[in-house]
Amino acid sequence: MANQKVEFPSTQWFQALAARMNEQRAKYQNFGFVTARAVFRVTATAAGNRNFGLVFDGFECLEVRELTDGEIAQFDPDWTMEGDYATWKEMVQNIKAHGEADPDHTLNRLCLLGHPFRVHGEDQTRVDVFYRQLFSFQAFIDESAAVETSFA
Amino acid sequence: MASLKRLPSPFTLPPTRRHEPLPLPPPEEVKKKLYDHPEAQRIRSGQLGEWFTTPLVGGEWTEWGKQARPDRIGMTFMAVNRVSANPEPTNAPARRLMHSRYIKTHHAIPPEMEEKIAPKYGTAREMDRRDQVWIEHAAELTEEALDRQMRPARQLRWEEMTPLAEDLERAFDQFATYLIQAMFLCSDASGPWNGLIHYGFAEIKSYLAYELFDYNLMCGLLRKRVMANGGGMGVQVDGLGAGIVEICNEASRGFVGEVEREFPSVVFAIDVLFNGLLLEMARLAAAGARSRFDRHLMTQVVQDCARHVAFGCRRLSFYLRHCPDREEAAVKLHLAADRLEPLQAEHHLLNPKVLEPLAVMLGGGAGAIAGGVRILREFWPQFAASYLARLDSIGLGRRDRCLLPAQPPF
Amino acid sequence: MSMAIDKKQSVERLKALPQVQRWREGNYEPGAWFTSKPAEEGGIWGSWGHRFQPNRRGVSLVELNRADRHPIPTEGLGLLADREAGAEPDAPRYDYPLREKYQVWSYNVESLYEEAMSRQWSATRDIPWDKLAPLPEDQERALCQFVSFLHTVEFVPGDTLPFYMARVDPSFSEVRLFMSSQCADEARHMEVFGKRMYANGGGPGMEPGAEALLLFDPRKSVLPQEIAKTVSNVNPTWDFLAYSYFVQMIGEAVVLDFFRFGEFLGRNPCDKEMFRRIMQDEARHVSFGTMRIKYYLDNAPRREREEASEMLHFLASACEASGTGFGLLLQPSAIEPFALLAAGSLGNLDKGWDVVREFWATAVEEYINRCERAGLPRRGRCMLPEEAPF
Repeated sequence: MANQKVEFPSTQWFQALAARMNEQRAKYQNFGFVTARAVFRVTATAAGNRNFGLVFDGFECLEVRELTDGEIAQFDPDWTMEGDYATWKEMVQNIKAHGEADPDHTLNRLCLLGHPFRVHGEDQTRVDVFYRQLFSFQAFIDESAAVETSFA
Repeated sequence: MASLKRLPSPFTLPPTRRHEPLPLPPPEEVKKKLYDHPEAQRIRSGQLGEWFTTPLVGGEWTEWGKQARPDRIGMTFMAVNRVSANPEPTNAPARRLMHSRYIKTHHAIPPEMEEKIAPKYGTAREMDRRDQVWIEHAAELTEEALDRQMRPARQLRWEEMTPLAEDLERAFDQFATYLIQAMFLCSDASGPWNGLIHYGFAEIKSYLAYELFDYNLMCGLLRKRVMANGGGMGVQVDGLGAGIVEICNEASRGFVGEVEREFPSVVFAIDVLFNGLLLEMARLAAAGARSRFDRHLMTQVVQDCARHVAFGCRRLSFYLRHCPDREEAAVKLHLAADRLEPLQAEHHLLNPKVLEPLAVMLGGGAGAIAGGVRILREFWPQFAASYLARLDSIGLGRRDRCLLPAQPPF
Repeated sequence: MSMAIDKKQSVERLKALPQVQRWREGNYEPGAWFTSKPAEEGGIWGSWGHRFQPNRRGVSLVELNRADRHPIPTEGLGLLADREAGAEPDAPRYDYPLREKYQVWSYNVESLYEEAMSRQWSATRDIPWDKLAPLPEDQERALCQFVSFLHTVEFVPGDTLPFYMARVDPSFSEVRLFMSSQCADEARHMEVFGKRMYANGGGPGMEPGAEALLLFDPRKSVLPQEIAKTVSNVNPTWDFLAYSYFVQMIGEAVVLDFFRFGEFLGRNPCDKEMFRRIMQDEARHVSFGTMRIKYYLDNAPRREREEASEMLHFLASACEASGTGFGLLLQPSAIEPFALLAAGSLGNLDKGWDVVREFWATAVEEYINRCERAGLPRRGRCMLPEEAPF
C-alpha cells in the first residue's frame, strides 16, 4: 500500500489518509476527539469539480465517499473546504516535501482570506467546528506526506 | 508607580469581611459533647444508616442496576446520560444547594427545612432554570472542552521555540501581551457566574470551569513564551474591555443582593462577541507566526476561542427559544450589542497595539508592514461576517443594525 | 442607556480616529509600542531581553522566575496584564482587593502550578473503565454511596474560587493560574465520581447529605448557634485567608484523607486509578492552602499577622467542632461505606470500624501537622478528638 501510488483527487486518496488516521489512535487522542461531517471540494480538475464527504467520529475517520454537487446538501456537512486543483496539488506536494505543511500551506493560512481555499457552510456555528478541531484536521491532511500521490 | 491613585478594579465583586473571633468553649468540653453526636452513637450501636437499609428499588436509593458503557471516546457524559433517569436537567426548582440532578432528593426533608438549607440568592440556586443555563448538546461540548484542553507537557515542544529577529519578537510579544490581558478579562468577567449555577447542570458547570482554565492556562503559556525568547512583556492595551466591563457589571449587579442578574448579556459580551473577535485575531496570528512553536500556540488559541464561541451561541440560542419572553430578551441583547459593537470596533479592532503587531507578523517584519496591512484589510470583512452569521444562527439577526464595520475603515 | 448611532455615523467616527487616518494616508509606521524603550529605561514597553533555555521540563515558572532579573513585586502594579507589562503614562492603575503579595502568595505556587499543568487528566479517557469487575452487592452499594457523596461535594470550591481569582492583582498571575487549575480539577472530580456511580451497576445512591441533616438537632450543637452559623456556609464574602483555611486546609484535607482511604480500599484497577489521580490533585490544593497561610503569617505586617492568627485560630476551632471538621469526619455517607468496604462484607463490619478508627486518628494527626507547618499550631487547641468517638 505504502509504495502504491494513489491518484489525487480520489476517494482512495482520502481513504488512505483515513487509514493512517485510524491506525494512529494515540496521536489523535493527543489532539482530542473529532465529531464532524466535512466536505473537501476540489474545483477545476480535469474531470470538473470533485467533492469528498468525510465523517469523523472519536479518533477516527469512519467514512469517505465521493459526492456529486447535488448530494452535498443531503450529506449535511458541518463545513466545506474548497479550493482549486492547482492549490490542492501545491499543498499536497508541499506537505510531501516537508513532512507536514510549511507555514504558507497550513489549512488556516490557505483559508485565511477566503482564497485560495475557502471554508464555508450553511450555519456559521457548524463552520466553527473547523476551528474548534483544527489540530486534528491539519494532522489528517498532513498524513498525505506518507501517501505516494500521483496527480491526474 | 505603585503609589499612583488607583481606580476600583474593573469587575465589581462582593466586599469581603473577616470573621470576628468570639468566645469559644474549651476543647475538652467540646470533645465531650462530640462523643454524644448521633452518628457516633449509631456507630457504637453497630447499626448502619438508611443508605444501607433503604430498599434498592422503591426506597431512597436513586437508581440501582444502571450501568453505563464507555462509548467511542471513553466514559463520557453521553454514555452516562444514555442510562440515567435524568439525562437532562428539568425546570423543577432546585430544593437543595449541593445537589446533583443524578441523585434524587430524600422524601423526609420537610419543605420548611428546605427553605432554610437552600437560600435562593448568592448561591448556586440563583440559576436553576433550563432557559437560564442549559445548551443543546451540553455533554458533547463539555467533553470536547476537556479533551481539547491544552496539555503542555504532552503537546508543546519548547525546544522548537525559535529566536526571532527583534522586530518580529517585539511584535509577537506585544500580541501575546494583548492576549494575556484579554484572557484575564474573560476569566474575571465570566468566572464568578459559575457559582450561581445549580448543580443539576453538571455539564455546564464543568464546561465553564474548563473555559476558565483555558483562559488562565493560555495566559501562563504566553507569559513563558515572551519571557523566554529574548523579548519580554509588551504594553497594556488601554480600552480593550470597552463596553464589556460595564455590561458585565450591570449584569452581575456586583453579585450582591436579592436581585435578578443577566447572565445572557455576559455570555453575549464574552463568549459570542469578544471571543469571536479573539478567534479571528488568533487565526491571523497563527498565519503570521514565524515559528512552528508560535503557530502551535496560536492554533490552540483558535481552537479554544472557537469552543467558547460555540458555547456562547448555543447558550443564547437555547435561551431565546425557551425564555419566558423572547421579544424582551432579544431587545436586551440587541441593546447590549448596540453598545458593545462601536466600542469594541474602536478600542479593540482598530487598536494600534493590536493591529500593528499583527501587521508586522503578517508582513514578515517591520519593513514589510505594508504587506501585513494589506492582508488585514483583505481579511477585515470576516470580523463582521462571521459574527453576523453566528447571530443569524442563534436567531438574533443584526444585519440591519450591526455597528462593526463591514469594510476596513483604513 | 444606549446612544442611538447609525452605521454611517459609526464608520465616520472610526475613520476619524488618528491611527485610522494615519493608515489611510499610507503611514504604517508602528506606534510607541514598537519604538519605546522598556520601563526600566523610562519607556512604556514592559521589559526586554529575557532569555531562557528550555530544559527537559520545558520552561517552568519556577526556573523562569528565578532567572528573571525583576523580582516579584511586593505590591501589585494594578495593571490589567501580567507583571512586567508596560503601560502608557496616563493609563489608569487599578486597586484590586488583593494587591499585596503576602495576601495571596504561596511558597510553592509556581511548582504546584507546573505540577497541576503536567498532571491534568481526563475522567473520560484516563481511567481504565474496562477493568471494572462486578462487586458483591453490599460492596458496590457502599462504593456508590461514597462516590455519590464525593460527586456532590466536589462542586463546592469551583463555585467560589473564581471570585477570589478576580480579586487578585494580575501581577501575581501564578496564584490566579493555580486557582484556575483547581477549578478544572474539581470539575473533573465531580465528573469522575458521577461516572463511577453509573459504571458498575450500582447507580447513584441515597441523597448524601440527607442523613446528616435528619440526624442533626441544632439544639444539641456543641457550639453556640451564633458561632456555628458563622462557619456553616463558605461563600465569596469570606476573607481570602479564612477561605483558604476553610476550603484548602481543613475541608480538602479531610477529603484528601477520604481519597487516600478510597485508594486503599479500591478492589480493582479502575477504582484504584480513580482515587490515585484525584488524591494527587487534592494534595496540591491542600499544599497550596497550607503554604499560603504560612506565607501570609510569615510576611504580613506584625499587627495584621497577629489579628490574622487570632482569627484563624477562632475559625479553626469553630470549623473543627462543626460540619467541615468533625461533621465531615462523621459524615454517614462517607465513613459508613468506608467501614463496610474495609470489612469486605457485612459480617466483618467490626473489623471495618477498626480500620476507620485508624483512619480517624491519622486524619486528625495529619491535619494538626499541617497546621503546624502553616504556622498555626493547633496541638492542644484542636477541637477534634485524636481518637475516633466510636
